[in-house]
This record gives sequence, structure tokens and C-alpha cells, in this order.
Amino acid sequence: MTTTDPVRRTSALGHAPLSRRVLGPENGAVPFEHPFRAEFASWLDCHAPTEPEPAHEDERFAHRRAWQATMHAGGWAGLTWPAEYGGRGEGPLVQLMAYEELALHRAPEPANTPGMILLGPTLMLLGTDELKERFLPRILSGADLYCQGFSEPDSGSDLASLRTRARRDRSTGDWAIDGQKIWTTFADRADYCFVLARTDPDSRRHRGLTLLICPMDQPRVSVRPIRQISGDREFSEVFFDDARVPAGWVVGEPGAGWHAAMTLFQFERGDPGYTDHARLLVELADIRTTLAAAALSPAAAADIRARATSLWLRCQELRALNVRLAVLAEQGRPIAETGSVTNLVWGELAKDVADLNGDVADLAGRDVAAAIHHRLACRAKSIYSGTTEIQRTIIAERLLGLPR
Amino acid sequence: MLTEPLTDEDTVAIAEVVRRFLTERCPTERVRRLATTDDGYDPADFAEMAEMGWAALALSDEDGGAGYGPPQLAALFEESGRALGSGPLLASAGFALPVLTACDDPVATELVSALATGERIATLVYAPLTVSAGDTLTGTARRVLDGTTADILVVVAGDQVFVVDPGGEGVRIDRSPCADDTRRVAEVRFAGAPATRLDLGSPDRLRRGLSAADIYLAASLVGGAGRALEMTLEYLRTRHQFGKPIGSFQALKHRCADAAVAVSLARELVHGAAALVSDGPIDELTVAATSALVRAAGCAQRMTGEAIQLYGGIGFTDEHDIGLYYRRALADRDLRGPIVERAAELSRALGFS
Repeated sequence: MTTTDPVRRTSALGHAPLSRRVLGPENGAVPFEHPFRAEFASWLDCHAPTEPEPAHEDERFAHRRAWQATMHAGGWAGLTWPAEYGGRGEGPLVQLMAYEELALHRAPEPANTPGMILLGPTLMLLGTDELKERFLPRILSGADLYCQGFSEPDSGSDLASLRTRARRDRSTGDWAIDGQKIWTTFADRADYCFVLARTDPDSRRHRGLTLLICPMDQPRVSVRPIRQISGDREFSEVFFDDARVPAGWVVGEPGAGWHAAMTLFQFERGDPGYTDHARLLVELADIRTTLAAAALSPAAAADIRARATSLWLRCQELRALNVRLAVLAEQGRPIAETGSVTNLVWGELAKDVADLNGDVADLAGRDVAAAIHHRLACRAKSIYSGTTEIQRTIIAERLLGLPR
Repeated sequence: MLTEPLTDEDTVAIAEVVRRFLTERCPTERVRRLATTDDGYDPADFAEMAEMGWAALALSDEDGGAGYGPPQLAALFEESGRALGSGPLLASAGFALPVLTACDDPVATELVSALATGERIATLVYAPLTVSAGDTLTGTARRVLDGTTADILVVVAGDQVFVVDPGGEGVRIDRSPCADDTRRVAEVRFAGAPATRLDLGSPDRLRRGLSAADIYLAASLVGGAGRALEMTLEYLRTRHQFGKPIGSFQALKHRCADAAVAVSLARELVHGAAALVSDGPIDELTVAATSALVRAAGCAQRMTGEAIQLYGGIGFTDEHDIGLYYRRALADRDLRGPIVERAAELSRALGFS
């Protein structure tokens, strides 16, 4: 890139973000010269942390939380949240450009995606006024952290078979939860867990479930972090032993928890932050830099080159798809199960990029420990939020119309 | 298809018209019958397509076009790929015409209108030839689409463009073996062949023209892949074994999901690149066009190969049409240069080597 590159910006602090050309050819729906990009990027130039994320998990989380507070103070939290809830009321295309700008600035990942992307928007649709007033401002500011209590030891991909129960206290109307959740991201750090529980003991499958907001700070909730192959403890097991939930803290109607959960999944599968192409393209740009400085054998160079090019192409496809879905969402058209396509493409791609990154780091002898951690951490990406096999089945049955 | 890249009404309408015409006029039985003839197509069909303005679709008003652009022509070639369209439309309107419109030359201008009306047929020869004093050409070009049909050769050697008479001295054209009987591919040998040099507007305009050619080929490839996907899904819904439709078996579902994702995403790249042809930054267009072609070629070969596997026994019979799509994907893959070379070219452009 030359200094005359029109899309390259230099900051007053001398912290140069990556050129937008790293993202690939310009897409007219999210142009490089868009005024939102210019405004957000100039704020990021001054406020995005310039130091790399800390290696230690707790420090890394604190770093992300501090970044979320900075974003909130700058007025950038809740970009797509309506103004009445303290957001900026932007549409999906601006959201996508924001993710790209964040990636180009190597900004930390957000600390509270379960609250900001999942529970917040679901509450806006299904929550009572009381719940909205109580929770939304503190989700936006990052004051409260959330975790998602869906999966159970015997109910992973088959969520509707879950066994955690909640019953109502006849006198107070409060709920009491008994059961166990697992793979709960950030459970050890969260203030609240949104728990999907069976509230009608005679019901089966999708009926008789309720989505409850359970305070984590009570002795009847215990959390056991799970150490992963990466060494991190991002996920936990959560045990509810007569855990108390105030009467009105129900998302949607009692008994309509499946609908609430599906509403929440739509946000999960529709938000390109979960299937971010830009961070992967930045990773490939860094791999390219490492390659340029490394002396590889012809055989290694040929292999790495072919894989890097193929991965870059797959990132371009993911980008085209993310933009396509943002355009549809902007027009208010349903995305439906197409989110399964982005999830599938991103999950497999993120693993493959991390593998290339690991191989290149190893061959070049640079940042090897970080690359090992990253490679191991990325194995989860084609598993959480629905394994890629579940996504393939959804695609085949609901998008391609193959029989069940 | 998992996503629908065509949203603008004109493009959708054009695709529908083309689909209807090709379905009625050129069903696969006819494509198969014509494949046994020397030229592999019926000149009357080609004349009618030209009369409907297909060849001129992407030309500007001043060149006698219909006021549409590359995105619409890409949609047309996607339909043509779906229908296994044969004949010289791709070579003449898809490959040669964009190069001629990049030239600033009275000879080129005249040829543009002759090609647009279908009065003449050209193809593109793109090869590292030796250009000697007095503009004579020497060297060999392989995989020239419709080289035996064309009455004009538009030759690109480096950043120079020439026109050569295929029947002239020092030119020898032989039909090459091809995986697809419905395609005509030739080897063109020049031995001091006299050529007419065309003045180029600018090297960037030539790159734009060549990128357009890449995109039209890519569109045709994803069209064929998309049709193979539809046919396969239909078969999996209706063919029963073990008392169930075979499409209910998860091993087959997952193969279909992966192939369908590959086709849909390559198609997004093709239509994204087509939107850049007219006025996108030239470096971005080049990368986008090469990317689209590499992924389209990859997905077409994969999808059509999967289709044969998913059809089982009937899939590898000559009698069934599904095999035609695989053969077309193989034949078309390398028409704008061996696809492995195109991928290497992309790798260099991206700085990975």
C-alpha cells in the first residue's frame, strides 16, 4: 500500500489502522468512503487501544470490559439499538461497517455480546416495560454482564429435550429453578443468566418452556468453570438448586419460552459480529506480513501460498454473504435460516485460518505460543451456537427442501 | 439457491426472458443432437439471439447497445450456463466483444457493430505470442473457444490487441479434444501471420475488458452448477430406497448443503464482480473478477461431480443429462487460462507470494 492510497488513514497518534483494502474489493452496499466509516474510524484512531490484548484470560477480559466502557462513553454502544433505548438507531449496513472498522483497528472484542446482541434486542421485542427499564440501560453501559443458559449435559444440539425445571411459588409468584446448564460462556463473570427451563412438568419438547432472567449472585447458583484445551475457562457448568427468580422476570409469556429462545437465536444468527469476516481478513493480512519476512522452503511456501489464497477467497465469500444479509435486513426482509449458512461458513473458515496462522507462526518461528493458543481456542467455533452439522441439516431441510 | 443476488428488476426480467427462450428452443435433447454436427450449434438460433439483442446487451447506447451493462450480461450468461447453451455467444459476445470495446480504433468500432448484430462471429485468443516487425504473429494458443467457428480472431498479446483473419496465411486452427461434446475448442497456431493492430484506449481499459470476459465465463459456470444442484435436489426428493426418499439420509443432506453453499457463495462473487466492471477501481475489478472465476470454476466442478455421486448409477450414464453438466464444468474451467495459473496470479496480486 502506498501513502497516496485514498482509503488509508493515519491517526494523530501515529497508530495506523489497516487499509480498508485489506477487506478486499469494495462492495457498493458498504462503500469505503461512507461518512459513517469516516466518523467512526476517526474516533477509533484516538480511542482504540494500541497495545495487543493481554495473554492472561482474566486480564484479557478486563481489557475487553474496559473497551466496552470506552465505547459506551464515546456514544458508540448499542449502535443498532433504537434511540429510545439509548442506542444510535443505525441499520444493519452501518453495523457491518462498524465491525469492519473495529477489526481494521484491531479493537478488542466486546465483553458482553450475550447481553448486547442477544438478550437486549429480545427484551425490546418481548419484554415488559418493567424489564426493559430495569435491564436495558445496564446492558448498554456494560454495568451488568449476562450469560446464556440453554445447553444441558444431555441437551446440546437437541435443545428441546432440556430438563432444567422452574416452578412457581404459589404465594409470591417467584420462580425457583432446579437443574444444570453447561457450555455457559462467561457464567463465572456474569451478573445474570437467561435460563430456558421447563415450567409445565407435563409438557413435552417445545411446549411448556419459559425464558427466565436469573440473578447469579445467590447461594443457590453455583458455577464450575470448564478448562478448555486452550487452557482458557471461557465456559462453565452452572448448577441451579432452588435458585430464585423474581415473579415478573420472564422474557415473553410463561410457557412461550421456545418462541423467546427462537427470537433470541435470530439475533444470534443474524448478527455479523458472530460471523465476522473482517477479523479473519486482518488475520490473513498479518499472516502475509509474517510470510514476507520469513524464509520458507519452496515446498512450504507453495503450500502456504495456496492455502492463504483459498482462505482469502472464502473470506470474500463470507463477506459477500454478510453484506447480502445486511442488505436484506436493511430492507426489512426476513433472513430466516440463511443465518445457518453464515454460521457454517464462518465456523469452518475460522478454524482453517487459525490452522494456517499456526503453521506460518511455526515455520517462521514468530509468536508461536499465541498461535498455539489461538488454534486450540478456535476448535470451538464450529461447535458453539449450533455445530456445523446442525447447520448443514438446517440448510438441507429448511433451505434446500430435502425431506426430514 | 440459498441466496438471491439478483435484486434489480431489469436483471431479473432479462434472466427470465433468456430462460424461457432457451428452455423452449434449446432443450438438452436439441443441444445433444447439435453436438454431433461439425459446428455444434444451429446458426439460426444464434441469429435469433442476436436479433433479440443478446450480443449487444452490455454495449453502451453509442455502440448500438440496449443501455444495460455487465451485470445484465452476466445474468444472461448464467442462464445460458444453466441451459448448457452451445454456440459462439460466449466466445463472441462474452470474450471478444469486451476487448474490442476497450479499443479506440475505427476497425474495432466496425467490428463491434458486426458482432453486436451477429453478422460476424469472433473469438478471443489470449496467449504469449511473439510479435515481429510489421505486426506478424508467431506462437500457439490452446483452448480457444469456438476457434473453428469464428470468422475473426481478436488476439491479445501482452498489452497489444490485434485482429487476425482465421483463414489468412500463417494461421492454422485445429479442433482440440474436449471433455464436453457440446463445446468447440481449438488450438490456434500462428507462423508469421499478418495481423491488424488496434489502438488501445488505455491498458486499463483492456484489463477491464479481460476481467469482463472472466466474469461472463464465471457466470456461465455458476449457472450450470446451480442447475445441477436443482436437478440433484429434485432427484433426492423423489428417489426412494429403504422405503424413504434418499434425500432424508443425513450423509446425502450434508453433501448437498456443502455443495449448495459453495455454489451460492461463488454466485455472490460473480454478481459482485459484475457490478464493478463499468466503473470499479481497476485493481479491485481485476482481483474480484479473478476471484469470481476461480471460485466459480471450483464450485462448478465440485457441484457437478457431487451431482453424479448423489444420483448414483444413473449419474454416470450417457443417457442422463446430469453428466453433461460435469463435462461442461471441466471444459469451461480453463477457457480463460488454466485455472491453477489464474489462482497463482491471484495469489501474487494478493501478496501471498
